[in-house]
Amino acid sequence: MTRASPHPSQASAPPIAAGDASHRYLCVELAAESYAVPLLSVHEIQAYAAPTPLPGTPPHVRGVANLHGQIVPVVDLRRRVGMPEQPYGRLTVTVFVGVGPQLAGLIVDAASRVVELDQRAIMPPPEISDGVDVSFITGITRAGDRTVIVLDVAALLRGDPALALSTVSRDSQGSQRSSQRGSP
Amino acid sequence: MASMTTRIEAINAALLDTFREEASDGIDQLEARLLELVTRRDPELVDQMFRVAHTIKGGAGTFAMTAMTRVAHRMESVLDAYRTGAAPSQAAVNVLLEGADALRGLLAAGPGGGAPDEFAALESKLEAVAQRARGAPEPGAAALHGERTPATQLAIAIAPSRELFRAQVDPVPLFDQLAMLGELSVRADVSKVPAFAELDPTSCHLAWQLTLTGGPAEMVSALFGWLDELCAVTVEPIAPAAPPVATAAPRGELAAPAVAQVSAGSGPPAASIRVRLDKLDALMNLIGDLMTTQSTLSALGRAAASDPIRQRSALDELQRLTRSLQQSALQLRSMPISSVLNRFPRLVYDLAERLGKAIELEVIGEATELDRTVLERIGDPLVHLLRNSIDHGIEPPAERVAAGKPPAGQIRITVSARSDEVVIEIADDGRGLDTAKILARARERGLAAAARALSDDEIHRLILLPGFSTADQISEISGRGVGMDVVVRTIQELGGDLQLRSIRGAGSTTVLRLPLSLAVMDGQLVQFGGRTWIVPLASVAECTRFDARAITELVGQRTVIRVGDELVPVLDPCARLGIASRARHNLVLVVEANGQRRALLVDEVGPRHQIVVKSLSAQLARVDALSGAAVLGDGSLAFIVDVAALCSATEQETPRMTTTSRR
Repeated sequence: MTRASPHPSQASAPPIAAGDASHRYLCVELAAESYAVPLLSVHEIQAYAAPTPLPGTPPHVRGVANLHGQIVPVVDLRRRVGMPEQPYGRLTVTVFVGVGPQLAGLIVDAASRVVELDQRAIMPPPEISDGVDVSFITGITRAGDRTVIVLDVAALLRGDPALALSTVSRDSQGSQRSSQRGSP
Repeated sequence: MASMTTRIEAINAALLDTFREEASDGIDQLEARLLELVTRRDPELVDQMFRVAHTIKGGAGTFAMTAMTRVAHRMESVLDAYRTGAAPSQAAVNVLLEGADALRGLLAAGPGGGAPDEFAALESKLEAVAQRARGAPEPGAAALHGERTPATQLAIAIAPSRELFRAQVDPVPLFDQLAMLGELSVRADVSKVPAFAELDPTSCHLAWQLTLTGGPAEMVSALFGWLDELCAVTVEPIAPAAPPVATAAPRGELAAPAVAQVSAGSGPPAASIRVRLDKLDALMNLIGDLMTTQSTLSALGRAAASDPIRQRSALDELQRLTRSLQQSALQLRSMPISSVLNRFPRLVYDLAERLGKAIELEVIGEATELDRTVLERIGDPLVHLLRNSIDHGIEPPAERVAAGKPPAGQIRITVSARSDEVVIEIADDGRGLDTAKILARARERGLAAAARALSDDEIHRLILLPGFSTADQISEISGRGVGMDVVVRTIQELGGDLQLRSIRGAGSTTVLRLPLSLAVMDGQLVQFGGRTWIVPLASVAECTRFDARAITELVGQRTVIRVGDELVPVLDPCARLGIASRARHNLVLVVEANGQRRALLVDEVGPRHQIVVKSLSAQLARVDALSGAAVLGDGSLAFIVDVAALCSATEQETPRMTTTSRR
């Protein structure tokens, strides 16, 4: 698996100020929207390679990938945030983010640039009425001339019932068995 | 100053840790010896215990763990009273065992935990025992420092480092300990103390010379042993002025040196290291990748045209190297099962006492090594099985004698290693399983359909279902009905297998099979649903060609297929996993777990490989029917099928017509 070369727009972006790393974010694109992920949570960006599908997982979990010996779930971020699906293209990448020892891969349309965001300028998200889950959005702000939605990676992963980070009880194991009984 | 405080805290914490480790070992030793005392009278044992109690007392005193010091002191008195060779009574042993428990609890609580007189009641009991032991007039009954300690003189030089006070160590309590051993005189050497203007009061510039009359040298060293890093201590005997007085030793006949052998299991603990598990896991990951690289290179190398012989031998070397690396890493993960089995004698003793039964426990193969993760989790299931044997299996002595058995029940735990698995058997010679009662209870609870006739084997397995218990009253020991199914689940999660054998009136045996390693296993590659999967080789019974005529459809129940002279339930793994089935099934792979067999319909059966198991569940909520993943030689991922999950999916519908031949 090869690493993605920097997005063309990065070449013309302003130089990144040598500030506190905790204010730096990686911008990723989903359709026309920019999302920002804390840079410290990003482990690696790889050109998209189809993960190995894992039976019995929800549709947004595309499968698992082998990241340097560790099996990591790969999630389609579009589906996770409730956007309609799009075929993967030339610029599609998988961004591997981590919360503590846990990792997950997020499939996004593109990874664009690294920006510095002023924490005080991040506004809480507006009420969105069309049923999209916003529990994992920290807020909204501007970076340069673009509106950027800041993601709370921990909440994103924690709120995903397919991932072990959730607090969903494992006793569903018993009911899983009975509901998945194959016909002999 | 902040860094100074942290440094002090660090040293103190390290010292406390060392003390904790050694005291914990000491308490374990005490307990083990006490249990041995029940069957074997040996003054050497008492002596050893006395020394252990003494050392624990000293260490506890230094950390101002007063309650612990007091309990240890009382125990020391009792043990000292028995050093003359009078045999401790059962009651005395019980009180001493209570003392050991108290010490454990106090050790765990640490300095500052608990009131100094927390165990006042226990102390009185211990004191009473000591009085009784001393009170009986014995010829030559020893004073506290009996005839075993000739009146030698020891010169003790203590030269601490500057850090002594900063490490919060006060030597005075230690001197007090020494004073209890004999006559002590102390001289402080102030020659190195600087002038007042330059004095840093937190530094220790003092040294001491002590003279001790009457204490054995090794006990003195033991007192200071754990202060190794902070003090240089030398202990030397001073040539006695007069020849040593040979006082009459009435216990001479017991001191026959040939007898002073302790049993094999209780020697000094083997040197061991603590290894951080995450470092090991990282190492295993690396090695996994290395193995993948090696197989890739191997394939490439074979294809290359230039100097094939050299290339071949280099690749062979690489292969050997990686295998050895893997073996060493795996061995780092293993430890002998004795660390888990050590607590069993005590457990059996307590339970037997409480239930009024007589039990003899035999353990074979405690040096067998298991993977750490398995060890961590196998303890509770084993305890539960042992408790079941003692509570429900072994009969009270009167009943046993009436049945023509020896009054003491026999429980034997056997641990043995086969090529890639460990087998643990727990066997008792008790009543055995009462099939009628089990069946009745199962039907009562709706766990077995009333109309079907079940074989003895099947009836035995009913006790493994959740919510089952035949105990008439749920005893506090077992029988709560939450036990056996949890045991089974734990064993399954460890990739293992549980089987029951029982003969009414003669006894029961539980057999656990566990994989030797969770990290590496022999896998059978299979194809179905257009993909490659891995089935643990240990679970594969056989593989045959699929023949549509061999399938029998039982009315309303299960589809079975005839394999050899057996009817095995059929399972389509594609349907079970919820994936599309792509091709015709050509083959049948018969797999087995927990005594149950299933015939899997697969498309192809591939080669067998040793694979490195990668965990899925660290990242993902538990996935049904898959127990892990592995990286194949071509870099792709294949999932490992959880055979136990497949076999038990329809646990409650045991197949009707199995003509099982016992393995």
